[in-house]
Amino acid sequence: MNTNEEREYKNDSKSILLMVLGVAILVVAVIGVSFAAFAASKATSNVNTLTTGAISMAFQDTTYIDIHNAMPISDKEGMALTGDYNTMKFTVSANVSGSTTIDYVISAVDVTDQNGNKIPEKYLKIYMTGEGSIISTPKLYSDLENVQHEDQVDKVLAHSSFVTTASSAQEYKKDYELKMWIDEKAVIGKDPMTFKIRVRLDAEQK
Amino acid sequence: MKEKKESAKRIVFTILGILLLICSVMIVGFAIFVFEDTSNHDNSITTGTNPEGTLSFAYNENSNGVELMNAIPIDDVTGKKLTNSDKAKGINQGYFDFSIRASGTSAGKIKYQIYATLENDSNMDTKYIKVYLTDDKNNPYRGYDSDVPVFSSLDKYSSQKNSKILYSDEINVKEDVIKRFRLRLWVAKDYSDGATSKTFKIKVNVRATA
Repeated sequence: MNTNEEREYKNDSKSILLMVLGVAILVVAVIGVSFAAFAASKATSNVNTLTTGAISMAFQDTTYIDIHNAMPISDKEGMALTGDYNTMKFTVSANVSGSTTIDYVISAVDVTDQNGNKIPEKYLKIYMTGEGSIISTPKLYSDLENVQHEDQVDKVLAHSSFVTTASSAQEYKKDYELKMWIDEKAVIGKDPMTFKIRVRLDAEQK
Repeated sequence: MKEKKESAKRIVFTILGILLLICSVMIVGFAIFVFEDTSNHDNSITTGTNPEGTLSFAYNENSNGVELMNAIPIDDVTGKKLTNSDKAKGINQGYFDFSIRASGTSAGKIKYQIYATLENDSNMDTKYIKVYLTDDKNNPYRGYDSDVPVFSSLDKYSSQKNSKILYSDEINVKEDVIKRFRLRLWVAKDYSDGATSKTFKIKVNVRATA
């Protein structure tokens, strides 16, 4: 090998060595991040600490809506609906250690049989409370904000978040209640019409 | 010289590429927790599942609300004879005419419930409110044909808060029958709740049941 070729060989070797080192650093970084579900840094007055923790979430519905022979009713009557199969009660909870924010969106997924007789969206009223407080005043399903999930457009029912600060594992929980009814202005005939939804929860750590 | 420059370039690009990759991993790493779930059951609302027909509710007043305000306590004999014109005489007792009708082509029947919902600004003790339901010829319906009940003693209507069932029955569809009702309300003779003015207000509604 002549001098130039030797030099070229050395340079190429350096490049390869650098690339190998870089990949090694990358692999270590990925493994380090994967083992921590989330990471937060907090500086105390004396010691700089890095706290890692774990998150688990749960979405539990305890009752569901199954109303038959529905007639148009006022918002006042709709908001006062109570009892078995007239409301959906559910809980969103997270078990978190460390400081972080988890944003979540609750949405309605239309699962009505599209080949059947469907209640028009402009006739359906939706109302939600959370922790006993009103999340939004009764709204027509057609007026709810859209949210895209894969190839389906769903309707946003509520946004919220858990902001956590405890260093040890702690449970955060919010209870919700959903009601729906036929708007008092709806015109319905004697042929049955149906509307069905499932409630969906999407959460993301920030 | 040229080779040195080429070599240096390669090193620089390599380092830049690695840095870019590390940054990407860090960005992805900080948004690593995502969660998605859907409720276990369908939430369903269906209209007119009664294959027999539909039920309609009609009343002559401006609304389906009935109000007692500044009413004087009267006995049941007087209460049962209340007329719509009694209000004009200053005896402000409740009087409400309404009807229900089933329409359809089947030979079946529709079950229904007539219920009354207490309004938010109603503050009178309901154990003093007498309720009397008859047809338009003043014949009392079942439940009102012996003692006149008080509002507090009526069965709860479970689908609505602060509501009581006034009457439940079934109605033939094919005969296209109109069933008429007359609701009278008055303050019981034994009412004694001080001199403070009190109000009793309800809204009447009808619902077909399964």
